[in-house]
Amino acid sequence: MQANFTAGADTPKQICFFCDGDALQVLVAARDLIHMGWKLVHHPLYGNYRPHQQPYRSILLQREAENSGLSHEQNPTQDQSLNPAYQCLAPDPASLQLIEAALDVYRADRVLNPQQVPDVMLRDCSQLDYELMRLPLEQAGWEAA
Amino acid sequence: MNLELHKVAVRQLAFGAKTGVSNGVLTVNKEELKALLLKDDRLAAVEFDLAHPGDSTRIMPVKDAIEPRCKLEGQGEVFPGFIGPVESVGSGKTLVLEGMAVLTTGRLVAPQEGIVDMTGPGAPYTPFSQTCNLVVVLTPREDIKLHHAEETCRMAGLKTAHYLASQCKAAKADHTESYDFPPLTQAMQAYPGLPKVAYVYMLQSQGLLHDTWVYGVDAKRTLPTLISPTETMDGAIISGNCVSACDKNNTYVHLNNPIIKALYKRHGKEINFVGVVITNENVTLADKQRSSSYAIKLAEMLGVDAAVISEEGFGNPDADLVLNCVKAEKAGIKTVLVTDEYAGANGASQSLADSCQEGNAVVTGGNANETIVLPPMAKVIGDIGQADVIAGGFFGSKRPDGSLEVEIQAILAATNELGFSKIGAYTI
Repeated sequence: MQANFTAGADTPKQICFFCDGDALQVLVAARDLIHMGWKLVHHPLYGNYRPHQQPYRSILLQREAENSGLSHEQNPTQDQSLNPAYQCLAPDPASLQLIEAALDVYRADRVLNPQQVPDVMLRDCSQLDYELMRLPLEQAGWEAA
Repeated sequence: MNLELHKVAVRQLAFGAKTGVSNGVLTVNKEELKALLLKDDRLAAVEFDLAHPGDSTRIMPVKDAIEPRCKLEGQGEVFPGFIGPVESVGSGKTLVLEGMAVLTTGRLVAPQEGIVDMTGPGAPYTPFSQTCNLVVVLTPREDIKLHHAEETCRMAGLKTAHYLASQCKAAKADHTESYDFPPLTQAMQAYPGLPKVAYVYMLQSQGLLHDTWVYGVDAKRTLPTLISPTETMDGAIISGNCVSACDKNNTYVHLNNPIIKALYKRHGKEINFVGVVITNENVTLADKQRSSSYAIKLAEMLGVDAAVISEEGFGNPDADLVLNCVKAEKAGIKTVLVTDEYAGANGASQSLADSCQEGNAVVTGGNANETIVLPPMAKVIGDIGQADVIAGGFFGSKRPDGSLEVEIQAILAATNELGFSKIGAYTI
């Protein structure tokens, strides 16, 4: 659904990663990025959906360093120490605390994998994931197309 | 501000030629009402049904519940920004059809909430098993966007509630309730010696199907602000929240907020109830910080000694609850939190996604993870197929015999975080 958003002129470079698997894997990838200096823009848990009620999870993170060392081709979970351009930043404690707490919630519940979900529900769930990301994306300088 | 609620008792609903109330029976001209609702061309179809306490009837998925109200005297009209103009409400006289509810149902998305059983083991979990219910079954046009489908269903409920009350303006009230909300200069001088108490009223504001509206404004686009409790009784706050039936605050609950009623009951005796601060539950961390700081700043400006803080929903709003609590306590304002729990089927897991040491006075609406088997009913209004994807249900929850095995999360208002419930527990 991110294709419906376009970056404003003054928006810093944005990188979008898709995670294979379930929402737990998205949270794990976000945690790894936080350890590389990225910060959460929004709370990593939904309001009013539990892990077994929504197969999708989008997470928006920001990083202030000029060169994140990442590209569209790279998986964020790769060892970035091999990339000489990567600027290491200390993890943001608040983001770290929130993502670890969210991981605890997902590990304690049944996590719904998209492959378990009927097509009609998948479509609705992806739209709602998009809708719940609308405000963070807008505040990050992206505008709905 | 003074508001009189003129309450007309409704003990039975019927369809008939003329809409009106007589001897506790509300008759509904459904053709007239259907024509009113179908003026919105985004609706493909509208049907009506009735459900009374004790009926072998299941209603699902319920989107919103609304109590019929209209203004008799005073500025504006109920549900300002939607039915009434954007004029301040909360003064004068308002007619209430008490004992009944308008329940809207229809498919918007999957998963979707919630269940109302009018009898059987599920009935005590929802206060709406005790009301006479006019069920509005809505079918939005398939070619409209989800935002418009949600809006048209929300509006249909408000229009129905206002229509019913407006047709009964000549009815004599069975009883009248009066609520005062004096200017702050008077409120601050009143009852010296009693602790000043504010209510911090958190509103769900996460996005589509998770929204609340104040005077027609999307709550996520607002800063926290003060509101008179009497304004809430005239429908200044409207629910657009369709997810997690057990702990969403539907419009009926906003109109009849039990925390506000409890604060009024103790006003002048145990406390001096001086104001209500509404605040949102946005998803971004910046908004959470901004709104919690601003809401508690307003409470400080009121000079209160204590605050009751109620949450709506669960998950990331738990962070807003904790931020409000910590900031209030650090400002010297004692807090009581009202929430519910997701503590696992055995109740042993951590109840909230966030916590704080300052949160040492908490009231719970119950554990939403409790499971229940709801036996088959003779009649189902709505779509029982939704049980498989209803929030709180899970795949396989619909059994071949028509019974449902669900967590009580799927039942409307089962763990309501304003205490709008028929089930409670007492420490003895």
